[in-house]
Amino acid sequence: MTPPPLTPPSARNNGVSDGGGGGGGGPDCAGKKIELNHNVTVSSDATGAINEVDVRLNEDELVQIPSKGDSPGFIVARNSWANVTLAPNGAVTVGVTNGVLIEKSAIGAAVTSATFNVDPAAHNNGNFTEVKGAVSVFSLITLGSMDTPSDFLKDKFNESSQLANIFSTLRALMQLINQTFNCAGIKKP
Amino acid sequence: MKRIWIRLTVIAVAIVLSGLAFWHWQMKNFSHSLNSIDVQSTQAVALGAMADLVLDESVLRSLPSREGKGILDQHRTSPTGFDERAMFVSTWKSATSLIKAVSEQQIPADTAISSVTLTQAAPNDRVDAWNSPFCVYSFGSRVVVLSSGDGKNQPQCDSLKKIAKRLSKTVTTEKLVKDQTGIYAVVHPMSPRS
Repeated sequence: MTPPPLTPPSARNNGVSDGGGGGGGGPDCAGKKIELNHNVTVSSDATGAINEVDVRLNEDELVQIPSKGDSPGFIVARNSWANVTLAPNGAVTVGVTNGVLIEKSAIGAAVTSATFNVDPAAHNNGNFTEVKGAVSVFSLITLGSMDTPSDFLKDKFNESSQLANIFSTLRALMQLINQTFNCAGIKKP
Repeated sequence: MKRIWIRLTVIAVAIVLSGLAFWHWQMKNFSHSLNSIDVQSTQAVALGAMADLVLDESVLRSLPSREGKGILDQHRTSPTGFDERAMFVSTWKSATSLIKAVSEQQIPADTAISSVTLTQAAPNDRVDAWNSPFCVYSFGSRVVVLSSGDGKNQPQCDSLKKIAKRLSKTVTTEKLVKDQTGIYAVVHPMSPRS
């Protein structure tokens, strides 16, 4: 798989915020990264509301999950972080630094991010609005760049009600976190 | 010579057609596989990943070790423990959604209410992750939601009113907390962040 398309949080503005900046009338910590622990870092918008969570997925070993029965395996390269971002329009984007390989047979997909949103007028569970990745063959060759949006993968993701359910739950959770927690009140556990 | 060309053409066409059929079959297989994702495990990973954000240390320290080097490593070493963490995150999610619904359509103050009667909330938000209803209380501008957690039955809401009142005054976080009595609670202002 190709090298990380996203910058790991450790390479960005890491550590607990200590004032300054922010802007927009928000608290001093607004817009900064707060490291909760070894595995979790959060960021906030200009008002200080938490809108981004970075989670360490693994360290030294490649991980394959869950791969039960007929389900496809998700292969995550070592030292991967997941970045979950809630956009002002309510869309949730999940990105993985080194991409995720979804494979079950000869044809699979190498995906670096997926964006999901709910259109209230559509009266459904929501839709994927963008999927960045490429089709992979025998987990060896990716047909195209993993960093560019793929309409093919977006269509395939939208055909899966199970993926929609998972992203719908994650979106609702991120919205509640955004409405509940402010960077000024976030404490290290 | 002509025969050889015909044979070669037939073989080439057969190879191309077989390749196309194989490709089509694999694509169909791929689409099908996205619909056979192990939702439970994947959802547990997604929810459990947020545990450090929405669960208070009083809850986290009673859960199995978090010593793995990343959440997938933790999930791999202790899937049951990770699932349990996801259950508490799910409980926080339902309780917080319930409080939001209650904030929009107020409930009687100083009264013990079972969440099953709160029809202003979505059915999924009226129960914790173990499918037991919550006990809900409103004290002044604060709402307290209690869960017995761990798959126990719904607590007797009237008998927990004193505990709920104490928690409404002492809990300073909006995370899910575990009281010394073993009861789990989410305490929020009537309208979060307003």
